[in-house]
Amino acid sequence: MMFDGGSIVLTSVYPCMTPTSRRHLYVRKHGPVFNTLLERNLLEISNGQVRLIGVVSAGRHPRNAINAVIGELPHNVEVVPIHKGHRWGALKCATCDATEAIWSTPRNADNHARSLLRFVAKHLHDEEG
Amino acid sequence: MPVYEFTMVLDRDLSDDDYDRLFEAGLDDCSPGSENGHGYIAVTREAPRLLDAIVSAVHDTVRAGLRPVAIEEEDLLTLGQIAERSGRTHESVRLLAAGRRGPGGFPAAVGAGNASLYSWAAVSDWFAEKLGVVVQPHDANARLLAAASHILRARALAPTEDLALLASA
Ligand SMILES: [Zn+2]
Repeated sequence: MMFDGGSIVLTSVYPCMTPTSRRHLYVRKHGPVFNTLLERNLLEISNGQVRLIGVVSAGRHPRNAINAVIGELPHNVEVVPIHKGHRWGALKCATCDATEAIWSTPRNADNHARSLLRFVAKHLHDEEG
Repeated sequence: MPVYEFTMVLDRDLSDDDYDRLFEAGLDDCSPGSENGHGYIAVTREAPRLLDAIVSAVHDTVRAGLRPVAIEEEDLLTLGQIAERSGRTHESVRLLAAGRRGPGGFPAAVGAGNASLYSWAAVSDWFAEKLGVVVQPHDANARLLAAASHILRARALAPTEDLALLASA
């Protein structure tokens, strides 16, 4: 299923969720699909409603500022998909094994993107003297 | 509110669970990672003062069960941050970087457009060499970051009571 960005209010979900009960979310019609979305932090629960906050496709982060960084990586830096807890993935440097987390829902996507770009800049090993 | 950026070095490497604990302790505005077997947190924090950014980031980290043992100043800056440090307008620095004003040869950036980052070490050398302007590298914020780093290192070495006595001696 593909939703191209934005947020869609999903009214078929039971209005019984609080942040602490999100893991026990019960969805009558679309259980497996919605659980997958939840695990990937693509759903946001607030005011008893569930919103889709991401694009459901591999390799694309829900926030554009972050895609701008991970879309142009040097040959030695790769994106490792994680989709676990709050981590959407990680940047990993093949030269020195360093990694940095990519959050699914960073508080500020531009600032997070700047940190990720710094990681990339610090790991341009080839261009260092 | 201004955004302050620095890196905290942690006492150990990060486990899978640490990442989620850091996020939930309020560090969702920061980027944790691992380098040479040591955890670190690249902090990007909005705060009234740098001091508040440091204190709250250290506090959040301790709450997540980790201990910062050093703080490093950020070398890679945006043109806006370079303008601030060098006491010039954003526009003036932008023209210098684009080679449309001044002697040219401004240090190369990583990334493009507004996201471009420049090495402050390289840029301040360029200011000195090409413009004859020595930009004071150790401003008040840099001194505060260094002091905070010394305190964190000291806390890893001696009990808090002893440090309090030493600080007031
Ligand atoms: Zn590296």
